Formats: sequence, structure tokens, C-alpha cells
Amino acid sequence: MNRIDIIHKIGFAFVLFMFLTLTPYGVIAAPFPEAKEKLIQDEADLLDETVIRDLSEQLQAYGETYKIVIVESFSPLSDTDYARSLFDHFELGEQSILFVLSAESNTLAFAAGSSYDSDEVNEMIGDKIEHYFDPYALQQEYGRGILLTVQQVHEGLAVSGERTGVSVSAETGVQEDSSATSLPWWLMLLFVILAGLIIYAVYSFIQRRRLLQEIDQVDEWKEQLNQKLLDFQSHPENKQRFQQIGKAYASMKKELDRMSGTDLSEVEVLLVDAEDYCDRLRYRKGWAALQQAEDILQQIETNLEALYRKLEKSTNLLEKNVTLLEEAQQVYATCERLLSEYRFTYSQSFHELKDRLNQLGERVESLNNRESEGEDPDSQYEVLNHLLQSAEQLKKDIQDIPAIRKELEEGIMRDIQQLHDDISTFYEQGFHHDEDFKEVPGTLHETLHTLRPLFEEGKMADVRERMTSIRDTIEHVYDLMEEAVSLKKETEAYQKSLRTKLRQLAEEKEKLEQQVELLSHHYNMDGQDVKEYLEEVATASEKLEEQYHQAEKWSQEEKPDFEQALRLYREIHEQIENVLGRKEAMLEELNRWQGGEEQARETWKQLNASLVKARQTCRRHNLPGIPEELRNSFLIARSALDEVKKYLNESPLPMNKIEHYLEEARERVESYVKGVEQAIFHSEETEKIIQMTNRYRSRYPEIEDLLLKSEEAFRSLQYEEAYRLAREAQERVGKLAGSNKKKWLKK
Amino acid sequence: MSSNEYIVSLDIGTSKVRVIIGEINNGSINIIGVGSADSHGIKKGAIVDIDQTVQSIREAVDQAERMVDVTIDEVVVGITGNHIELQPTQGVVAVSNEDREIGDEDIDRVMQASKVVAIPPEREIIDVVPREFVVDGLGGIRDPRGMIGVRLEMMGTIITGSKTVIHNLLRCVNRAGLTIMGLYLQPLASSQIALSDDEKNMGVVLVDIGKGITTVSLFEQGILAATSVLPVGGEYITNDIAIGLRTETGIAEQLQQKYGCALIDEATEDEVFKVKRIGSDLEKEFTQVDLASIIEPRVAEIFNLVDDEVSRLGYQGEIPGGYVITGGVASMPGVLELAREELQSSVRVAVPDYIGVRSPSFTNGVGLIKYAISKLSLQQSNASQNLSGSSSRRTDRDKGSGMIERVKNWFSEFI
Repeated sequence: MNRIDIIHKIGFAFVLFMFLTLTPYGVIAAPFPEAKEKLIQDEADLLDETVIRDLSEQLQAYGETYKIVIVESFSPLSDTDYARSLFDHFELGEQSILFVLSAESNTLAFAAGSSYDSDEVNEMIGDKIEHYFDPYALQQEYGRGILLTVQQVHEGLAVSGERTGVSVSAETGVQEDSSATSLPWWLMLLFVILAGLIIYAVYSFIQRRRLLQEIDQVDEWKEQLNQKLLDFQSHPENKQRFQQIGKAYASMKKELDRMSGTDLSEVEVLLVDAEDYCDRLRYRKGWAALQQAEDILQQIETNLEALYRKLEKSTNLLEKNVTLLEEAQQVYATCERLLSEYRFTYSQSFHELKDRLNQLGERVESLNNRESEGEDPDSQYEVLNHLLQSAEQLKKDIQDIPAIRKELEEGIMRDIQQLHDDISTFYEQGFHHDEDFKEVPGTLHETLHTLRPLFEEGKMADVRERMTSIRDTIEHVYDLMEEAVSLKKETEAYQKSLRTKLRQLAEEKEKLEQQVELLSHHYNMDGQDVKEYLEEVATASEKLEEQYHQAEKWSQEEKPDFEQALRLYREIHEQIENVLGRKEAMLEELNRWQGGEEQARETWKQLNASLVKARQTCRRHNLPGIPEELRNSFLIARSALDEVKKYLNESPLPMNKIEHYLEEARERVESYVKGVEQAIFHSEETEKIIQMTNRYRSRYPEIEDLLLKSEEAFRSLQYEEAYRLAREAQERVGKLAGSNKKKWLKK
Repeated sequence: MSSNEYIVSLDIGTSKVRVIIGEINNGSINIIGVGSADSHGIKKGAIVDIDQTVQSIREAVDQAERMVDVTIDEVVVGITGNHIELQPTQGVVAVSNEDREIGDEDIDRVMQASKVVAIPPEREIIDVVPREFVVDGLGGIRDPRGMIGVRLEMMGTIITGSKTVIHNLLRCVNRAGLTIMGLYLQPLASSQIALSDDEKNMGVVLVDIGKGITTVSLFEQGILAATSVLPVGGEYITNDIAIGLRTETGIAEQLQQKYGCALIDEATEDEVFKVKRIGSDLEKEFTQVDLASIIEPRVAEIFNLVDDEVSRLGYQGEIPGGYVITGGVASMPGVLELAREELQSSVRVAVPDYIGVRSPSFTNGVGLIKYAISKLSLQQSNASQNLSGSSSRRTDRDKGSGMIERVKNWFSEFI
């Protein structure tokens, strides 16, 4: 052994020594995470951020008692040792509990501070972990497990703490009891009573003070109102007004006396009562009395305001009455002047008007006198108003004198004369009316003569009424004459127009007959409507012609009965309109025959085109063959179209038959076209599907089988069946491909 | 042939480029995908613009790929045209097998031997069609495989075409990202679908009326005896309609497809349509009879030309098997009746009896698939390798590809 070997061995021994001595601290020592401020410290990234956030919020509620740390592993320490070491490493307080979760072993360990470091607490926490964490740990719901465990531990610790608290409070009770024995119970009672009295005294003092203050205020208010009442009565302006309104003041005075006498006294009594109640400590009654006093005062104040308003109104009315009276006097003066003037001008007495004028003067005079006696302004206003209206009416009557006179002398006379002339013309022109108008102007003249004495007496209302009556009579006569004239004119107009209408009816009938005749050669017209109509027109023409002559006769008699003639004309006109109104429908019917032919030919053409096109489409699509039913369908459709063609070539055309067979042909052709479309669709789709699924034939025998069947059906022209089978194969392919994919995924 | 493989045909026509994907399932063909695109760059059946043709091919291929969810790598292509020539040929080889049993190798050798003929430098052999095999002097043999003999002879027809045309075709296909698995004569391919063996034996004329050209092919004694191309087709009809109705060619083509009728008697006056006139915003109303009056003479003319061509090819009188019409124009109503009238012979329209491609315009495409199956020994040629889709992956998996590849395959199946 040389020196180098010795050095090597020594070196090796040193390294071995160092390894053995340092390993537990340097290499094997469990790596603790760094302490952080957070309540939950997830070093293993086991929990989601949201779970950590929720958990932290929950733990915040318990203060900073609990701390949760999640580590990858406890190794190499045991769970308890690791938790204790970590507790010390984090330097947690005495009242802290640390829970450590190992992500590797799903174990939750804990270490509690010295405050909780007892066997009972440790056992309790261990139980909680076993019951509340471990089940959730198995389902990997660590967050929920930790939360429940912490909640339970907290409750457990609280119960334990409460128990301690109860024992402490019990001790305090014993001490109180011992001290309580030193004071006698009556003294305690005395203290209580004294305290109650003091409280009541304070309450009473406050209540009394408030009530008395309120009484003072109400009293002051009462005094103010009293002063206001006095002011109202004693104010010089008001006094003057009171004198003016006279009788109206009496009621106001009564009201004022009641307020100042009765109401204010009552308030005074109520205030005294309130004070009395206050002295007797009956505050509620005191407040009630005070409230009643306030209500009365409020009422007085309101009434006083009303009196002010009433006084104001009465004063205004007084002023207005003066104006009205002045107006009445002015009108009276005008009337007097006008009447005098007209009496002189027309040399008539107009007694009636004069009497009315005198009465008006007397009333004005009397009202003048009454005003000075202090009449009630309201009633005075009404009387004066009425007086003024009467005066105005009189003034109008007087003012109307010239107009009425002129009307009597000229206007009505002229109208009656005009009526007379018009009546003469009416009869001269051969108009006739049941009522005889010849005597009417005479009668009106007589009435007019009776009006003159009335006018002279000044009975203007009567004169006006009778003049209106005369005018109404004239108007009525004119209306009747106009009616008679209109009747004749209308009758003549009808007579003229009906002549044309009857001629038109005959022409239309002829035209229709020609048209029907023409169409009958071309069409087999089974429909009877037109023929019936023509017969009806013929009958109606004869009848209407007779009626027309009858009406004509009535209107041309010496005393023509226009009314009856007109009624008959109207009936004739209505019947003609009715008959001609149906002409359009008949023409439409005829046009339908013509249009029906064109339409039928066009439809036949379209159907034929559809049939040919469908057949050609069949051929263009290179179908392996046409199914028997489709061939038959074609033959049927062809036959139906030929049938229609046959009828279309007939003369006259049996349109009803054509329509019937055309409808049948349409159904047949549509059925064939639909069949062709379906056959082509099924065949094309079948071909597509078979082509698409052909590549799976070799792989899946069932697909091969289905496709063979489909091909067989296709070649035997059963396209629908072939399509069904092909679709089934296609669906199977989808499923089989799907199952293969699943198998592959399982592998 | 394995239980299920794919063959893709590419039919480059004047109106459409069609790609058809056929799945061979236990010997029968299932059409699983069709791609179709408007043809550009083809005139009268010949490529006149390679770029446009490539674009059309790509569109059709994309459409078919999307439909089946596979990637198409290889296709069988048809060729026709006036440049095609048929030439009788003969080949002789000694049977190589020690036990004298004739195998595929012997047949290949005799086919190759038959190709050793002098052909002009501007021509290229497209295909060799055996008519009969002779084993030790015993003739009339269709398939000598498994027979015992020393000397194997083959009598057949060698099909040649213009090198330029073939080159253009191959160029287009290659530039579209495809490899040609087989280049076959179109009439031969069509005959697989359109004609029965009896018809071919009796003698029949296959008339393929496309948009730009009409291919007339004569079959006799079971083989293609002659083929010729007429430079007329549906396009002529369209042009006539456009001129007759004074409208645009596009509208004329739509009218031809929607209302076209080759026989006036079959048309109806009641089918009315409006046509926008060239140089005017006004639309004029025409009936199907008006349209048929334009179409009928032109179609009749085509049939007359066909009749003349058949006579020119040396077949006078009645053809026993009659005429079989196919191609896009054959779909038009009235063509069959008019053909019977004009050709004075029995006529029928050939439609591929495969679901999804039941139209005369698909005869060439489907025929190519069927012909390719008959030509290729699919058991040996891994036909499914031309597709790099799910099925090819599945085949690779069956062959025992690695774990990663399997996982990729599984994953791709479900995405």
C-alpha cells in the first residue's frame, strides 16, 4: 500500500463521514415551504384558485386561528411530526391550529398551539378529520373536506370554551349572592320605588311644561282672534260698508257676536279646564281640551275670513247695483224719447207700449228709493237685473216699430201678391195639387188687415207672431206647389227615360238572342241560365210595356195622377234595372263558354306537354326500364288526354264533358308525372348510394348482402325498394364505421 | 386476382374527361367512384392543348379521389382516332417449360414475338390482340394456359398508332401526376361492355358517337376487324342548334341536353322553351319540334356517314349483329328510332350495366376497366398499389408492416 492509496482511503473515509453526519440535516431533512401571509398555502397546486378563494373567505370568518398548508409529501417525517415541525417552522401563535394536507397520501395532519394542546382537543380534532375530511379526500374533494373539518373543529372548540365560560359565570353568581345578602330586600324595593317616582316626576315635569306652553300659545291665539274680531267691527272702512249693505250686515253681526261671545268664551273655559287637568296630572284630558280649543279657534278664524269675503262681495254688489240702476234709467229715458218720437211720427198712440214704459218708470223710481233704505245687495241685484232686461225688451219693441210698420205696409203685402201671382201661374201651367191654393192669398190679406189695429195699439209681440204665421203659410204653399211641380217633372223624366230603357231592353234581348244562337252552333250549351234569362226578358218586356202605357195614360188625363204614375214608373224602372243588371252575369256566362274552350285547349296542351316531357325525362335518365305501373299510368293518362281531344274536336263542343274529362286527365297526368319523378329520384339516389357504399362491400358482408338486394330490386325496376335497401346499407355503414372507431378508441 | 383491388380508368373525351374507379370484388366490378370534368384542350378527340388537358384530368381525378378518399396513382387509358391502324401479326415460340406445360411466360413470349414486325418509325405498337393460339398445329385455341405442347403460335392483330398522338397522351397523363398502367384501344375496351360475345362472333358494328368524333368499329368472328373515326359528333349538332336558333354554343348545348330529340315525330309542339338570341337581349320562344327539326337531319347525316364508312371498310349489305350505338349522343331521345330508320338494320343502345354509371357516355370508361381486368394478370401485378389510400395501407399492414406504420394506418382510418 503506497501513500497515494492511503490518501485515497483517508479521503474516502472523510467523505463517508461527512455523508453520514450531514445527510439528516442537509439531504434527508424535509423541505418545509416558506411561511406566507395567506391562510391557505397550496404548495402542491392541488386546489383550484376558486376553491382556495372560497375557502379563504370562509376561514377569514374564524379569525386567524386556522392555517391550511398543502404539501406534496410529509416524507420523510410522519404526518404528526411534519405538522408539528411546520407549526414550529411557521412560528404560529398559541391560539393557532395548523392543518397540513399531503397531496401524495391524501392525509390531513394538524398541530395546535399551546392553548389547545390538550388530549381532549387533540382527540376531538383527530375525530373530526376522520369523520369530515377523509370521506371527501377519497372523492378528491379536498376543499370541501377541509372546510367541513375546520367548521367542525371550530364548533367543537367553541363548545369546549363555552363550557369553561359557564363555570366562570356560575362562580360570579355565587359571589353576587354572597354580596346580596348584605342588603335587605325592603331597601332594594325602596330603591326601586324611589327610582320609579323620580322617573314619573321627570315625565310629569316635562308633560306639564309642554302643556302649559301650549295653553299659553292657544291663549295668545285666542287673544289675537278676539282683537281681529274687534278690528273687523270697529274699522272705519268696514263701518261704512256695514251701513251700505244694510240688512246684510245684520246676519254678519249675528255671526260676529256668536264668535266673540260664545266661541271665544268656550275657548276660555277649555283653557281653564286644560290647566285644571294639568294641575291634576291628567295630561291626556288636558291635551284633549286644548285640542278642542284649537279646533274652535281654527273655526273662528275660518269664519272670520268668510265674513271678510262676504263683506267684500256685498260691497262690490252694491257698486254693481248702482251701475245697473243707472243703465235702467238710461234705457228708460231712451225708450221714452223714442216712443214719443214714433207716436208723433206715425200719429199713433201705442197704448200698450206707453203702459209698459210707465210701469218701467215706476219700478225704476221705486228701486231708487229702496236702495236708499239699505236693501240686501243680492236681492237688489236680481231685481235690477230683471228690470234692465225688461227695459231692453221694451226698447227693442219700440225700436222695431218702423221695421214692423214697413213690413206691414210693404213686405208682407208684396209677398202675398207674389204668392197670388205664382198660384195663378201654377194653375195656368197645368200643375195640379189636391189642396186648393186659390183662396190662400185672400185669407192672408184678411189676416193682414187684423194686424193694423194691433200695431196701432202697440202690441208688438202679437203683431210679430201673426206676421210669422202669414210667412209660414206662404212658405207652406210654396212647398206644396214645388212638390207638385217636382212630381210632374219627375214623372215626365221617368216617362222619357223609361221609353229609352224599354227600347234598350228590347235591343239587349235581341243581342243576347243572337249571341246565344251563335254560341249554340259552336257549343253544346247544356246550361239553362241564359235561355231562362232570355224568356224572362221577353215576358218582362211585354209586361213593362203595358205598365208604361198605363202610367202614361194616368199622367195625360185631364186631372193627371202624377203620383200614381210616378209610382208605377219607378216600379217599371226598378224591374228594368233588375233585368238589365243580370245581363252582365249572362254575358259572363257566355264568355265563360268561350273562355272555357280556350282554357280547356290550353290546359290540354300543357298536360300533353307534361306527359311527353315526363316520358322523355324517363328516357334521358337511362333508367334500366320503366316499371309496369308507370307504363300503365302513362297509357291511362294518354287515353284520358285522347278522350279530351276527341271531345274538343266535336262540334258543338260539349264543354261540360270536356271540363269533366279534362279534370280526370289532369289527375292522371299528374299521377304519371309524380310517378316518373319518384322513379327517377329513387333510381338516381339508389345509384349514388350504391356507388358511395360499394367500397364497404368487401369489408362488411352484410353491406354486400344489402347492396346486392338493392341492385336486384333496382334491376327488377323496384326503385323504391332498391332505394330503401340502399339507404339501409348506407346507415349500416355509418354505424359500422362508428363502432370501429369506438373499438379503436378503446384500444 | 386478389379478393378486392382497384382499377382506375381515364377516358379523355372531347366533351368530358372521366375518371372511374372500379373495385374488383371476387371477380365482379363495383364502381366506387366517378370523377368528371369539362374537357378543355381536346378537339375532335385529339389533344390540342396539353396544359388545358392536364388541368381537366386533374379536376376529374381530384373529384374521384374526394369521392372515394384515395389517392390515384395509376390509370388505364383509352386511345382512338384516325391514326390507329390494325395489322395482322403472327408469333411463334418454343414452350420453355421442361414439362411442356404452357404457362404465362410462354404466352408473354409469343405475344412479344408477334410484335416483332416492321412498322414505320412514326408509329408505335399500342397493343396486340390475339385472335387464336395454335399449339403444335392445333388451332382455334383461345387460352393455351396449362396445355401441353412444344410449339406455341399466336395469330392476332397488332394495333399501332401515331407516335406523336401517343406521346401527347402519355405526356398529359404523366403531367397530371399519374402513371399509365395500360394503354388500350378504345373500341376494344368499349366492346367489353357494349357488345356480347355472340354479337362479336356474328358481326356487329359498334358506333360510339361522342361530342367531337364518331368511332365506327367492326367486330367479326369475335375480333375487331376494322375501326375508323368520323370527324362528326354531338358538337356538330350543337353547332347546328346554335346557328339555327341564333344562340350561343353553351346555350345550344344545354338545350340539346334538356330538350333535344333526334326524331321530329317523337318531339312535341307543346314543349316550349325560350332562347336568348345572339346580339340581343330578347328571348325567342321555340318548341321541341323546332329543335328536333335541326337535330334530326344532322343525326341522320351521322348515321348515313356511319353507313358509308361501314361500306368503305368492306362490309356491304346487312350486318348480322346489327349496330350498337353508344356514347353521349346515344342518350338523346329518338336517336335509336332514327338509327333504325337510317341504317335499316337492327340497332340498340349500349348502356353499361353498372350502378352509378348507367349512361352510354360511361361505356368507354367502364369498358377500359373491364378490358384492363381481362388483359392484366392482376394476381401478379399488385393492382392495389396504384392506390395509396386506406385499402393500400390495409394491404401493407397485411404484409406485416411495422408497428408505427400500423398505428398510422389505424389513426388514418378514423380521421
